[in-house]
This record gives sequence, C-alpha cells and structure tokens, in this order.
Amino acid sequence: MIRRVLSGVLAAMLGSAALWHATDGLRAFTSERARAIDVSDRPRDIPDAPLQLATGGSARLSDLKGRPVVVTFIYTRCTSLCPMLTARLAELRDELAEDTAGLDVHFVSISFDPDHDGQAELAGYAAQLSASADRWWVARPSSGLDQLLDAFGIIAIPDGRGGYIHNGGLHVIDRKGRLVAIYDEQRPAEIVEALKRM
Amino acid sequence: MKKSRTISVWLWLGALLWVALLGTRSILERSLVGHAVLQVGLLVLSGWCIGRWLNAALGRSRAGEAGLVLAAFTLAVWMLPRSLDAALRDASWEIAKFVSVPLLVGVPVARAWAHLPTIVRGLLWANILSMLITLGWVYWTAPTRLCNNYLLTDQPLLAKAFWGLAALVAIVLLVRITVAPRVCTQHRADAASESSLTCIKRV
Repeated sequence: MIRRVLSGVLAAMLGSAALWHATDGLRAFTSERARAIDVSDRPRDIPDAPLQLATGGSARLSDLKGRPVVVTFIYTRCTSLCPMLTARLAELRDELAEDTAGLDVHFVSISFDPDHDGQAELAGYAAQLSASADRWWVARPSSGLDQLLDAFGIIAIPDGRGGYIHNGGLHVIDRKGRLVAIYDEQRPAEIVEALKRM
Repeated sequence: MKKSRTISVWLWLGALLWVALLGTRSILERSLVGHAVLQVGLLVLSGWCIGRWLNAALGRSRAGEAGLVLAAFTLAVWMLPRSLDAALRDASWEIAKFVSVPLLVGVPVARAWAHLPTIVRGLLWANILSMLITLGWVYWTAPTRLCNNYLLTDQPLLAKAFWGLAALVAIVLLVRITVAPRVCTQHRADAASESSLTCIKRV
C-alpha cells in the first residue's frame, strides 16, 4: 500500500515538473506568451538584415545601435493585426514627441511580404502614417527575411485569400541592438515605461 | 500457441499504428483537428495496444495508479497550445510527443484500466467528459489565436471536434451502463450473520 502511494506521489511530482517546464513555470500556455517570456528572460541578438526603406535608400538595423528601437512586422494590405500595431506605434511616437528624457526612440515597420510590398507600396504606407525617415522606417528586407522572422519568432501563414494570418507585437530593441522585450498592442503604457528605463 | 499469437497481435497493431502516424505526420499536422485530436488520440491508441500486449506478456501492473497520474499530466502537457506549436517548430518536442504520448499515456491506461474499481472508472470517465467539454469551450470562445501555426478558423473546428468526442463518449457510456453485465460479490460480516449480495455494473 505504502509503495503504491509513494509511486503515485512520485508520478504526480514528475508530471508537475513536466507541466512546469512546458509552461515556463505556469506562465505561458500559448507560444505567443512563451515568446515574450523567453525574450524577457534571455535577451537575444538579432540578424543584421539589409533593409530597403520606403524612401528608396537602404539601411541595417545595426545602424540604429545606441538608440532604443521599437519594431513591428506588417504587410501593407493587412486589415487585421497590422493596423492595430501601427496605430500603437503612431501613439507611441506622438507620446514621445516631446522627448524631454532624451530617449531618441526609433520606430521600424518591417514588411514580411516583400514580393508584394515594393517601394511604392511602402512609400504609400509611410505617407499615411506621416512617418518621417529620421524617426520611423517603413522597410522590407532585401534578403534574410526567414532568418529575421525566426529571430523575432514571427510566423506568417497564408490565409488562402492572398493575405496572411500572423502573430505580432511591439518588439523592443535596446541600445546594444538586442531584442529585450515584446509587448502586445494592448499595453502601450508599459512600453513607454520600459523605454524610459533604458 | 494461439494465445501467444493473439498477444503479439496487440504489439504489432500498436507498432504499425505508431509507424503509420509517423509517416502521416505532415498530413495530420496541417490542421489543428488533425494534430490535437487525430494524431494525439491515435498515438494514445497505439500505446494502448502496446499496453494490452504488456498486460498479456507480463501480467498485472503494480503501479497502475501511478501510471494513470502520469498519463493525466502527460496528456495535459500535450493539450497545451504551446506544446502543439512547439512540436511543429522544434524536432525535440516532436520526438517527445511521439515517445511520451504512447508510452506515458496509452501504455499506463491499458495497464491500469482493467484493474480499476468501477467507481474510479466512473470518476475518470466523468473527468474525461468534463475536460473535453471545457477544452472545446476554451477553443470556441478564445478571441485570439491560441496556436501561432494554425488559422483562427481552425479553433472553432477543434472545439466542435472536442464536443463531438464528448458526445461520443457520453453515448458509449450510456450504452455500456444500460447493457453492462452485473458483477456480484457476496459479503458476510461474521460467521454467524447472513451473507449479503452486492451487485454493480462494470462500466
């Protein structure tokens, strides 16, 4: 009898440990939450993909080292998540317009649909946002898209109607160029606080 | 000779099913229903077949209850949206699924089930039913995508699949309760008293 009870307790302990490990200590039940926790616990380097800007120029994320950067992934025809993410970026830009703390935050919207989003589409998107290139890049990777998406944990699935279903968020890169936090579009106040702590 | 052949049939069935699931991995994993219900369910079944073989080859398990506890936790892990996503993106999670679901869910259930008291079986069935209904409700009402690798439209389909399974389990239980054989045991408090007969249905 004691042996049966002990083996039951041992099994419960093993099972609990597995569940604990699989949910990052009962914090993440979805991979989107796990992605944010992983980045927050272990800031990661990101590939220095070459970007083609809406202005026609080219740049790299490493050009922004020394400044905090907030990155979103979009495609210009998107009517679901991207407009919300972009609206939050615009709110952040406006909130930080009078940047008394000298944060010098830069914003980047990267298209993961480079086949469709050429320079004209990106320029049209940037114009809608009044995105000035000195503070907000609207861009597409000229190469290394898959590596970039992998590093940020972005998964885009064709929706069968020419668009994509994708995850996203507001990705914060610190002054050293490391991805240090991911916020969903519902928490702009937290991002401002995080940026001020940098 | 005939008995040993029957015994090894369970092993072959389990192994064949497992290999077939490995071969159809990419097909089943294209949809959330195929992944979470068909693949995981059939992996449990493959382990259950192997457990039946072990029952016949080794006799009764002495750790039946512990095995059931481990099975419940293992299944809970593989019902998490995060685990399903991870299995698609990370080979080590996929291997863990193909090993743990048959060995830690199917085998222990087959090893323990026949020896469980009726009341424990009833409790487990009630738990399975409520879990299927709850999981369906979670996927039906989730306003956002729970799995990054599947479309939002896959979630209500999965909810319906869980509810369909719950309905199937409920119907099978009802039928078994109606037609299950009664098992009677005779009790006598002491030598002087009269014996009494207790009969229950084994579901």
